[in-house]
Amino acid sequence: MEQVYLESVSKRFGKTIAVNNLTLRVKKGEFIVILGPSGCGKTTTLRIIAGLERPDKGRVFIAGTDVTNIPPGKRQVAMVFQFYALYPTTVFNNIALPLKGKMSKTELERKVREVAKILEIEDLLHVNVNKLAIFEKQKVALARALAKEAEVYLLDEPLTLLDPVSRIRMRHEFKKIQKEFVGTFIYVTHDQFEAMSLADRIVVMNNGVLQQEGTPEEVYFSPRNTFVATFIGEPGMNLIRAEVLEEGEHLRVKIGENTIQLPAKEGLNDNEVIIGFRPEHVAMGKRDGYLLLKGKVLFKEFLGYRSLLHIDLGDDQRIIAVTNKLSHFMKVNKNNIIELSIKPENILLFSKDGERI
Amino acid sequence: MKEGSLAVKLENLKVVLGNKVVFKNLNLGFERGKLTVVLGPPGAGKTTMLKTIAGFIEPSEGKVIIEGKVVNDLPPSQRNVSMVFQTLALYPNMSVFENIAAPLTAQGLSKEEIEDKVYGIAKLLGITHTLDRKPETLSGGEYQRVAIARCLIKEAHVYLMDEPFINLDLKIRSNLRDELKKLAETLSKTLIFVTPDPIEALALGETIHVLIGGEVVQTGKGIELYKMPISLDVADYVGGGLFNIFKGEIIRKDSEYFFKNEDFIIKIPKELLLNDLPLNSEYFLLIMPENIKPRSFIEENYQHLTKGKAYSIEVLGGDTLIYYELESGNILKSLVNTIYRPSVGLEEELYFEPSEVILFNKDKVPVVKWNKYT
Repeated sequence: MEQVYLESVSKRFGKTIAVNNLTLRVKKGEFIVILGPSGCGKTTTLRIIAGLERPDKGRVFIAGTDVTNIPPGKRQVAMVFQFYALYPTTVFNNIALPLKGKMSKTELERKVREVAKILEIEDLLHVNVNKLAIFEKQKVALARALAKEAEVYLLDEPLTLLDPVSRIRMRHEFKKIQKEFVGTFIYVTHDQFEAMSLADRIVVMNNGVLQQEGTPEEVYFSPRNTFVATFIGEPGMNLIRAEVLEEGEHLRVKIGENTIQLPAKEGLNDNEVIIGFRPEHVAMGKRDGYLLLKGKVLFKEFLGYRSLLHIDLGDDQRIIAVTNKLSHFMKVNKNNIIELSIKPENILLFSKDGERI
Repeated sequence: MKEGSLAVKLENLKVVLGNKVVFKNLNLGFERGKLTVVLGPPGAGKTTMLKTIAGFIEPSEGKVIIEGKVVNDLPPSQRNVSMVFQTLALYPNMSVFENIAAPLTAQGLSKEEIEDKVYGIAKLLGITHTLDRKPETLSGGEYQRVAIARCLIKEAHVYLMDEPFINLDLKIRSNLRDELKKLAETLSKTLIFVTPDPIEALALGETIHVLIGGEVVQTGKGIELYKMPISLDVADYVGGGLFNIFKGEIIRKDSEYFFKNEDFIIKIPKELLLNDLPLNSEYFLLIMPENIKPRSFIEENYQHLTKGKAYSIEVLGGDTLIYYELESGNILKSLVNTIYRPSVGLEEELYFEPSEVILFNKDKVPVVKWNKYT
C-alpha cells in the first residue's frame, strides 16, 4: 500500500490547468522530490496533498484512506513552507506548540528533544528564535514539522531563500533526516541540483503533466522525453535532428554534414529522429569505437572547473561539449574545425515529437 | 588599449554618497562594440558606477567621457545611454509591445519602423508570444527579457545593465546569457554588464573588471582571474567561495618547502615558487575543489593530502561536489566529474594535484609563478 496515492488528480485555476490527470504513488519512507520549472504544477500538487486545494477531479489517499474530502487539519500531514513563520519565543516552545494538549508533558519533552537532536539544535532549545541565524530558524521550522506525528511531511522549496552556506548545512540536515528519521517526505523544488542531491526518486513535471519519475540517475542518464533531457543538466542534453539514411542491421543517420552509424534500433517509424547526448559525453579528438562528428567551434566559454565549447555541425545543428581538461580547451580556437567522439552507448534516440525511442 | 577604441572612459572619478566615499579615484575604460563585465560583491560600487555613467549621480571630481566627449554637465536624457535596472519596472497599464516600443515612440519613429524593430528584438529574446499581454501576466524570466528588450531597442552609445538576470532560474539565465552574447556580437554594441555572480561574469566576459571596495583590483579574461588571481580576496570571490583556502605555515627541510596546518603537511613543488619563502610567517594555501579527489577518482600526478568524512554532497548535473569534514573540523570541498554519493560519515583518503596549488603570503599576495594561461 502506498503512503500517498494521487489517483488521476486534476486542478484548474480559471483557464489554466495547473495539474492535469496526475497519478502519483509514494511509498512509505521514501524521500521524493517534485521538480519542474515555475508554473509546472508542483506546488499545487503539494497543496492538494495537504488539503489546501481541492482537486476538480481525482482522489487523494493518505496511508490508504481517501482524504479527498477531509480538511487539512485532519489529514495527518506536516508542511514546511518556503517562508517559515516562527513565534517570537524559545526554540522549545516553537517546536512544542503543535504538540500541546496531544500528549503528556514528559512525552512532549521527549519528542522535542528527539527532533532537536537530529537537527543538532539541542543547545538552542531555550534561546529565543529572534537570536538565531537564518539557517537555524529554518531548522526550527523543520523541527516543528518533524515533531508532529504525520503520515507524510511536505516541504515547499525550504532552501530557496537561504544563503549558499546555510543551504549546504540544511542539505546536510536533510541527508541526516533521511538516515535517522523514519518518515515519508515530498519535497518540491525548481532547483535540479537540489533534487539530484536529495531525492530517492525525482518526479519531473511540466505544464501540469508528469513527465517522468525515477532515481536521479535515471532521469539524468535515461530521460523519457526531450523536455526531461534538456531540463535536467546544465547545460541540458544536446538534441540534434538526424535524417535516417538506412535501417536494418545498422542505423545510418545524417547529422548536419556528418554521417554516422548506430546500432540497429526498433520502434523507428519515421525517417527523421532526434539524437541526444550529454555535453560531458562529447570527447575531443578521434577515439576508437566512438562515433565521430566534425564541427566548427562557434565560441568557447571558460566557466571555472569546466569549460564549454559551442560547436556547429553544419546545417544549423548546434551542440555543446563540456570539458574538464583545460589543456584541451586551450588548444581549440573559434572557427577551428574539430573532431569529436561520442561513445555509442551514450547516445539516445527520440522521435520527432520528443518521445524516447 | 587604444584611446580611440574606448566608448566610455572614467577619469579620476571621485563619487561620494552621503558620507560614504564610493570611489576615491576610479579610472576605467570600456571598449567600443564590446561586452565588458564589471564583477563585484554587493556594496562594491557597481550600481553607483553605472548611475554615474548614466548621469543619475554626479561625481564630485573627475570626468565621465562618452564617445570622446565629457558629459559631466549633460543630463541623463542627453547622454545617449540606455540602462536596465536591477529592479525592473515595466509600465503596468501598457502591453508588452507598448513597453518595448516606448523609447521609440518617444523618438518619433514611424509605425512600421517601430513594429519591425519590436518584432526583431522580441524574436531575438524569445518573447514574441507575450507582445499582446500585460506585464502582470508574465513569468519572471519573460518580465526580465521584456525589460532587456526595451533597453536594447533604443539606439545608444552605450547600454548599461545592472544585474539584469538576478533571481532567474539557472536555465533561463544561461539562455539569456547566450542570447546577450550573440546580441552583443551581431549588433556590435557597447555593453557594460555588472553582476555579483562570478560564474555569470566568467561566462559573459571577454574582459572582466573586478571591483572590490570601490577599486578595480584586477582586469582580465575569466581564465586569468580564475587561474591567476592577483590576491587571495580576488581568488576567493571569483571562485564563488568554493575554493579550499587553508591557513598555515611554511617549514623548510633540506632545500624543500612544506606547507603545514592542523590537517596536513605537503611539499610545495619548487618549480612553482618565485623566490625563497620567508619562514615564521602566516601563509594561505589555495586548492580548487576540482584538484582534490577521493582515492577512486585520482589522476596521474595526484598526491595524498589528508582524510575526511563525507558531510554533504551537491550533485551538479554530471559532476558532484562533496563536502568532507576534516579532523580539525574544517570543511574541504572536492569535485568529481561524475555522480558520486558517499554516505554521510564515510571516511575517505583525499588526494590533490600539486602543480595546481596557489600559495599566498600573509599579505594575501601570491608567491607562485604563473605561466600556463597567458
